[in-house]
Amino acid sequence: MTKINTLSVKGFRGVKKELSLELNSKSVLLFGDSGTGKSSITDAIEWFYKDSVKHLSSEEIKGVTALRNIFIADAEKCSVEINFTDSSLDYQKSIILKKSNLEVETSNNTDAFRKYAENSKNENLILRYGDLTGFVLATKKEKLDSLSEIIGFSEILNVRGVLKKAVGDIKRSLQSRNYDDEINRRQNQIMALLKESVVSDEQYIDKINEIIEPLGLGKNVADLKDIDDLLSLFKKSDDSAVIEQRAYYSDVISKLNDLPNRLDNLLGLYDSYYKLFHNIVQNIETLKKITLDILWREGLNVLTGSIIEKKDECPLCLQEKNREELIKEIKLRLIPLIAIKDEINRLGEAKKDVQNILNEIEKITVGIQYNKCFDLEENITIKDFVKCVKDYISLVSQELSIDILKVQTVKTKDEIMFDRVKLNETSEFCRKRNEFLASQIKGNKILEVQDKIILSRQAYFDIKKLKKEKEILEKQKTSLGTIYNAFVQKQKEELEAFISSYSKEINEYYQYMHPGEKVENIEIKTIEKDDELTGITIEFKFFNKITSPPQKYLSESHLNSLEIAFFLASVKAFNKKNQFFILDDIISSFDSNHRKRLGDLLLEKFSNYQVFILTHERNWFDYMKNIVKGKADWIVSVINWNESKGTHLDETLVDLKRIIEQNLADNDKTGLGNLMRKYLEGLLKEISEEAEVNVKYRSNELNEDRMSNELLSNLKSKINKQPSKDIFEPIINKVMSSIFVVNRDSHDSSFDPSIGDCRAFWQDVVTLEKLFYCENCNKLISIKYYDNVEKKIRCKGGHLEYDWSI
Amino acid sequence: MDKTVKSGEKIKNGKTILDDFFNGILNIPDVDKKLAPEIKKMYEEGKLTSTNLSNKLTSLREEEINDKN
Repeated sequence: MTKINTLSVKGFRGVKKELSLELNSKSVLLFGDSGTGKSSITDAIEWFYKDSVKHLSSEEIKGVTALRNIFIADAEKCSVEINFTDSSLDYQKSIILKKSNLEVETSNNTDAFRKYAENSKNENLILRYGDLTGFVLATKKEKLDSLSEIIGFSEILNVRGVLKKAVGDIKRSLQSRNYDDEINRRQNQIMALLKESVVSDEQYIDKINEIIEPLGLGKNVADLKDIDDLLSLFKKSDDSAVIEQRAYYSDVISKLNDLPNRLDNLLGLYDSYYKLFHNIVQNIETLKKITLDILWREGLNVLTGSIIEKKDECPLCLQEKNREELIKEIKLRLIPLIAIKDEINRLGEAKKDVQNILNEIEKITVGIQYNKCFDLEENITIKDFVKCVKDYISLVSQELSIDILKVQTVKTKDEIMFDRVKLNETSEFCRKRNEFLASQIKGNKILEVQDKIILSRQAYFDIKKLKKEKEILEKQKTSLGTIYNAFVQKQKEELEAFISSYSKEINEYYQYMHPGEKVENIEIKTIEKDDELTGITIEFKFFNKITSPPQKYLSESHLNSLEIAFFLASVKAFNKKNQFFILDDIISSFDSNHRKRLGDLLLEKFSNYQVFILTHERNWFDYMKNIVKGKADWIVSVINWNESKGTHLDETLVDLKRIIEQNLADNDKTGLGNLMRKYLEGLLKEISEEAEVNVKYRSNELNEDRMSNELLSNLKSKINKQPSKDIFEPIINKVMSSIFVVNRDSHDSSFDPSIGDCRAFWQDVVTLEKLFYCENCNKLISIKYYDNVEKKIRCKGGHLEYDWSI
Repeated sequence: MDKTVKSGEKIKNGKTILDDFFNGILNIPDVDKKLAPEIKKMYEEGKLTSTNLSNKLTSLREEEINDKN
């Protein structure tokens, strides 16, 4: 996981001159009054990762226009540059003005960075005050969608959908075929022929042997395969054709008996197809846009890929167009198509279901047609029937082949009813023909036996085939059901494991901020309907009573705490690439106690993360500054704004000293007086703090506003009581009497010092500093290192020491 | 299965969960020995769609009917 080494922002939002945070992976606490442009830093990071800034993207604010500082010259760059602990990811993103158009340029187009940027888009990096009710107040479905998107559960739901549909299809096949009915009808046929039902090959073979015994053929059947040999023993006669025809009519009757069930299923499935079709055409305008789907998707691939050089021009119409804006626009156009494409896919599935039944019906007619008895003249009724079925199949197929984009209507199920009178007439015809043929062979024992064997064999083999089909389907149903159940179980276990861990962390962080406040056991709960996950809600114990949702009882600041707890738990759960996060002004609704607790939580539980804290709340800043003081992995700074620099960081004393000494070396006295006064003020504040110099009480922000003369005067009072006062007094007096140190108005006075005046004053300041500052340990002398025995004040290493009384 | 994720441990994403499941599909008891490998293969090839699964189930049924008859 990576952290940020440096963040440099220039010409972006409120930042005019370069603002550079040299972090070296350290956390940073930034204070800035309202209007100083703190959020420019957050905006810069958001734009860096997401190509847009949420609160700056609306119908009225197009593209990157709001991001570039309006005071910078046209030729100047607006840029955000981040250098990471993993330097292969270092990246600069700029907005450049070219021919009156704003273009985005990037510095690192490696696959490594592209992959990192893509993964980072879904990570929880920024929490602003405006986001503080986002998750908690979202609907149950939005919560589920939000988590599913982050965890990647949408892929799981897709696979689950495929398995569930397969199980459902097989169940429907088993029900629609109604195997038991078809088997029973054939059993009844065997019963009528052999006077008993047959349940096994052995029983059937015994029965055959029993009925042929009186014929004295001298051959027995030992296996089903022997039946063919047995039938060949029967001499062919003119009446043999009767038996063939009886077998044919029996077969046609069986097939016709199977048909009504197929037709019923067909109508049910066709009706579903019809309803889906009409639902889709209700949304005709979106439907028409489906034709553009391929074009838009391909366009998106071109724009986001690296094939075409990145410039702000539409590759299709060659008009000038901001690239990011164009990508965003296409993505927006694709969103409404997702739902309708799903519907069209479902229509395709419904069409396939109808087609499958049509295929079964066609198979039945083929079975009737491809038999030499079909061509007999007297079978005109059967021929008519077969034609009728074929016409019917054509009619339904025609409705299925309608292109929804061209024709917006299909026939209703009432308009595609099959003529069942014809079916009954054909069935009756076959039954009568069978009876007539039976009467033709009545009394002829050999033919009667032959007839029984042929007809029963046909029925028995049908039963065996139907049983086999049913068994295989049931086996597939069981297997798929088992796989589906195991899949659902796996999904539940993983989701429960995740939710249990996620809830635990959320609860832990919330309790840390609100101990003993009667809001306990915060848990995320899944909501299921018909075995489907439909939403997520948040439950908690409120005065020992389980309740939901949080907004029912919790105040705004408690809801904000909950959202912070969610964010922090999400950082730990989901962020896999970035070990940093930004909290931008998130504590406005908190009282001082809860602000402190949040600070403690961050330092205790997120010490291995790089945390960016931006705040305009002086109290919290002071508290945080105090608790991170002395921690090597924290940097504290103040953000200001002025017309020349825009948003900028206050210089540290080290920075100021470097600038002053450079100016002196360059003989440049521009602004030097103010810089030296500022340095002296900073130095005196640090000395006063370490030496415990008492100053008059002032409230928070005024406390920071003390001038050098006041601080020097208080320091002098303290020094005057010390045994070593002679060492300090001369230089303090000298600095106090300097024209640079008079009163508060001197910052704006008309005093115009020469470079020599500046050098002399700076020399005095450095002399004063050297009395208090140890160059060996780089620390000021401090009461913290006071030697009670020797009565001395010392630096940390004991290199610098003075007699001192406290 | 351990139902809790240790604090700080990254949760599994959808792809990892799917990979885990399909790697273990052959060990699920009472599942047809021909069907499970076919579903696993379809997933690994990125072809596990409703249509492909339905076609595969039909062809497996036909194969089995022809084998036995």
